[in-house]
Amino acid sequence: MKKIYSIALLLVLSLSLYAQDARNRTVETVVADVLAAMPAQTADILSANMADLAATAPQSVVEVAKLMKPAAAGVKNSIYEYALTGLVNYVNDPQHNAKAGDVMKGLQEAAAACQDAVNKSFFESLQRMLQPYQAPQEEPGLTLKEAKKLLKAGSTAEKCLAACTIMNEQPAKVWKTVASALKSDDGQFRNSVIGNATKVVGASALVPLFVSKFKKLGSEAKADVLNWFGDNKISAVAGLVASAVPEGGEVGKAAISAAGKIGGNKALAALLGQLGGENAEESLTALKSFKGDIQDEVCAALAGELASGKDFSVGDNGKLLQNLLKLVNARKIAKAAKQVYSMIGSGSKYLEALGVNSLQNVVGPDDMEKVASLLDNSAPVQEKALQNALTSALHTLAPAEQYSKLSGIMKKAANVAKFYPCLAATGVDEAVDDLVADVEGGSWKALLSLLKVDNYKAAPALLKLAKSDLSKAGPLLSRYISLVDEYETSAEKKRFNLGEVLSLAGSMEDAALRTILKKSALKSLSGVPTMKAFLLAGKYLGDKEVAPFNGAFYEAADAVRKIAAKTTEEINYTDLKDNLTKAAEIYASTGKADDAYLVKEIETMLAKAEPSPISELTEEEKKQGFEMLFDGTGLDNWQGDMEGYIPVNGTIYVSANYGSTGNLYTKKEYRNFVFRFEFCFLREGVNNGVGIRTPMGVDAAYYGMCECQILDHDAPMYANLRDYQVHGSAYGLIPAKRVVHKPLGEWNTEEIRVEGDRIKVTLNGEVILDGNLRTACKGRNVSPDGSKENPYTYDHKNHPGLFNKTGYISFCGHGEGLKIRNVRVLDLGNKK
Amino acid sequence: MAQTRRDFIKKAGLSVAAATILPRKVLGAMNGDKKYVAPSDRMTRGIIGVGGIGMSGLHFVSDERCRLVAVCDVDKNHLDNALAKGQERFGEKLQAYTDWRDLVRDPNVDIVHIATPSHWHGLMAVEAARAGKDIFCEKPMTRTIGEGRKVVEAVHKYGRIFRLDTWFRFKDTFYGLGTTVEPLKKLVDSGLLGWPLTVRISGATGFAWKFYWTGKTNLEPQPVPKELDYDMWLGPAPYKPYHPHRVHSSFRGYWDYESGGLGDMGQHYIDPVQYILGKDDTLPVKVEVDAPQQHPDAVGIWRSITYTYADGCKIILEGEGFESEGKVPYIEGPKGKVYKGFECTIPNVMDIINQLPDPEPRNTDFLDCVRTRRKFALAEDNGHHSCTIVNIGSCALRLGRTLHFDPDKQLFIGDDAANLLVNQPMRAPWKI
Repeated sequence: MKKIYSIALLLVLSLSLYAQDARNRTVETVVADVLAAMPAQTADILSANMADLAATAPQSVVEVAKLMKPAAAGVKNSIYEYALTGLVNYVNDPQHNAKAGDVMKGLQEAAAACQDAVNKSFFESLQRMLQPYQAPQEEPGLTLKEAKKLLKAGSTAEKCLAACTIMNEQPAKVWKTVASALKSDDGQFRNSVIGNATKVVGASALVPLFVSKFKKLGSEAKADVLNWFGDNKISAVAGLVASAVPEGGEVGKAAISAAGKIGGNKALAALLGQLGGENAEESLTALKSFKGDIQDEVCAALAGELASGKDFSVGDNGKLLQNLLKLVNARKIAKAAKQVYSMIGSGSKYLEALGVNSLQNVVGPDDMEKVASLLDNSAPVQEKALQNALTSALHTLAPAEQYSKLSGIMKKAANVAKFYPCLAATGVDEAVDDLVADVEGGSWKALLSLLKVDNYKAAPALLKLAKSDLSKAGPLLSRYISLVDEYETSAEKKRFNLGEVLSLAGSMEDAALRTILKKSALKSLSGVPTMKAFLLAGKYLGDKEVAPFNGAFYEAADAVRKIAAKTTEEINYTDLKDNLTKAAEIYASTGKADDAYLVKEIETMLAKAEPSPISELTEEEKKQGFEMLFDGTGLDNWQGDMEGYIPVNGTIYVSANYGSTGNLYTKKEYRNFVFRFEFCFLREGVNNGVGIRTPMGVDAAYYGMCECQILDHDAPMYANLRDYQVHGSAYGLIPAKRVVHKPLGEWNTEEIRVEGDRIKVTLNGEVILDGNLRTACKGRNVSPDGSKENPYTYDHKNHPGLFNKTGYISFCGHGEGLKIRNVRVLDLGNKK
Repeated sequence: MAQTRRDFIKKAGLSVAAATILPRKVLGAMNGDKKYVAPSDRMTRGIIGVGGIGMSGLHFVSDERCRLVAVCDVDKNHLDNALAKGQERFGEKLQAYTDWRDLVRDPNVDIVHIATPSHWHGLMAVEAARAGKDIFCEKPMTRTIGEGRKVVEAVHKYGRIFRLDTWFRFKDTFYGLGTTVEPLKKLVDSGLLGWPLTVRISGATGFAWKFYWTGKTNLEPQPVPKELDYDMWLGPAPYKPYHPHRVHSSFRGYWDYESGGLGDMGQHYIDPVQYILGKDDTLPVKVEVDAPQQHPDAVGIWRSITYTYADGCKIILEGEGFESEGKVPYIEGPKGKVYKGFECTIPNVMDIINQLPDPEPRNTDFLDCVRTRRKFALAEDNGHHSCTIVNIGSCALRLGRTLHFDPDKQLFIGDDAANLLVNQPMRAPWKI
């Protein structure tokens, strides 16, 4: 916000500057005006200013240059540097370079007159920027003669250069050079020549050479050529490549990699065949990325292998089959369903286990009942795979349908618990309810699944369970944090929830768990850009545990830094400074480059922050005996809801909610007093109040002497407000005069004077209430007949506290958006 | 004549070498260990720049596949620290250099790891290639487009293996995006999102630009600390009076050495996009910037940088504090969008993705590439391309205007001033 604001402001200022007619100004005035706009925040402002400066060049350039001094303490050359660079860029723009010559002239004059070496070189560098562009001169390369010599006697790098030179100079020699390099046992040279030859003549021109030489090559060169075939995707050699696939070692590996890149049927067949071979792993990788639909070929290979009659469980016999199934799984080859079911029904334990494992990748919507029945009757080792398979089949339906289908299945099932993970995977509210019910019924399996549900509804249940047994709360809280992190949209609720986890984690016995939970909660908290989140995170900057856990201090540092950078709320200067300084120390202590950056980030943030203003009593107030209750620094004279009332940069920021707990009380009790304070509303319709002679923990409007309204009654929502509710009223007892407040964000001053039964309220210098509460209700603060209806009070309600002799002064919170500052009190004692 | 270590072994101790070199495959098979490395196959590495990333746990390592043997720095404190750590961690007495050219020419070094500020990268990579070394270079690859071309050329000419060090195109979820590149690649290749695509790299999609890597203006000249060889630190960069903010961990804030957060993070973020969009062989044709005026020395912030390819695909970078509001897709096409964490507007997208072939396997083991002489997954060509996108952006930022680019010639179209930034002069005596 602030940034945009200042840019807009500058825009307005500068527009007004250049709206003047440049021709009527002297060069000095033009220069002064332009310099005032430096650095320009937008391209438009810059252009407008530079147009003026260009129009008055070369004099303007000389004038600006004259202002520059040798760099030293306190010398500020930057605006001149901005101006001159901006000018050079401006006249360099092909659109307006008519004045480039004049600018150049000015710069030459400036350089000639300049005595300071650094500034002079600046002017010269600007002159260089006005020169036409010329391609840099290339250094002469090797002559052919030198190249030939080096090719024989040079180091490897020199030989590479020599061959490269020869091929560039004489493309006709490429074949010969490559052919000879292929015979070399120096891999660096060989591959360099192959690479550079490709650049000179193109890949296709080299293919016949490689094909003709291939058989006679050594194995390392063969691997190079095969890799080259693959990198250049030479489909014409698919057969040759395929035939090299079964070779072992590096040659086989290169062939496999090439076959995968070149593609086609021959390559596919060769790669599938190699899945049982020495380089099976490489083949599998190649097949996972093999372009095109390979379902039929994979199924055929699978069927063929299954029909081979091998005993797969013996030795390496199952390798090919296992790898084919890995491929089925990786590429979700649904067509293999037939083979997979046949394995499950084969009666062989070995095949059944493999088949079950692949099931999730081949099931379709029609398979649900079949899979459910397999799951219901499954052995423990197969449970997980079958659960995944059923989930995968269910996943073809919409979530609501998944649930209804699954609950139908579960009603018929003998082993309901086996279906919990599938239930959890539906993610619907009903699934959460069902799981919570079963967890409460004592099922730990239901709990395990509850931990997996991707639904925020599970969060309260997890928290409740965690609280009931902290020793087992680790995974529950961990899941709770991730759910809150992902789903909680209210920043305040998120902060509250994470705060709860942090405090629970703090009382856990296991140091590892304690740290893990704190770290993860703080990580999530770092995304909550509020002042309260900042303060909460700050409490963990000193969180240290013994090695190897170390504590969550680093995450706390991340959180305070990120929140401070992002928040639009004000953070109290001393808190900001304390927490960020601690965070910077934490970053500095790691010695890592990225952390050093973060130290800088923090330094910049702190440089921008300003300390809190401090309110002081006036001389007259001092004489009269006023006492400062809040001068902007701390709430030492107050008690009550210290979370809802936070000192922020000289003010009390109120975020307390309505209720007997959302109140801030003076530490002392007062009978007769003058209470002065300033307040401002940050948003429309803010509601609060000053409790008079009130006990703690009650509604001051009824159980205190009265509550003196603080209300933004100017908000449209209060158009139909009752008169005894307007700002300043003794709530429900005496209406105040309805006056208009200062605009949002501006400070109002208020004085409340209480003497005996009399209350007088002055707002912004105007008395808005002056009355006697005892006479206002004719001495009947409660209904004489004990009923709820009291005809004597203005609001017809009982006010049992009205005749309190003494009590606290309080602020009675009704939500966010109020700021209070400069709170003073004059104790008038107990007379009257 | 430069000499490689193997030449050296060949020439100096043929009989000894022959006696110790056992057939690797035999030994490997005996151990049943694929990673087994025969002593003769154990490679060696030297790091230039041991102040920042060069000292990270990822790079300051020495193991059975590759031994760290040499380090170089122009700051004596960095060098002393590296030597002490080398002794402490690997029990290794590292060879120390203060002039990188000596490390590059050391016959005991196979691989040169360039971990200096980026104004040195191009020069060092070219010299390393010339000396017959393989190269492991930190991002961003080079500070100018012209230097990048030189590196590509040298690596090709001298037959070198080059690895640019960013890795999100082949592993890890990158930064806040919350997904690896592979499923994105499959999704894009499937055509389900339609074409052309717009990729948004923004705080809103999980990427931080590190805007605090900005430079300072009006720097007061300071005395050069005695441990630092400032002239050698500057090298090809123009001479500017020393100030501690110009060097070491804050150098990125100055155009002379890099380009701020864009330079630091740009290649990390843009390189995977080139891969995802299948544009490793080409480059955008237009770049537009929205930014406050840039200072000639100190890098500033920017609001957005928009790249457009010839086919209409776009990459939009959104600056910190200037992110799009609301729910912002990472990739958007005419038929669908994909958000952070692979959330997608296409129903059951994972089921569809799972049935598609994996992307083509890539060579992601650098040491294996060095051994087999195969190109690394992020090598000089595609690395130069993604770095060029970063550099096109910084040219447009510095000039404050829309630029048109010719991907084949790798020059801006009809803009001399922009092309002067493509090939920038080096301070004598340095020359690439």
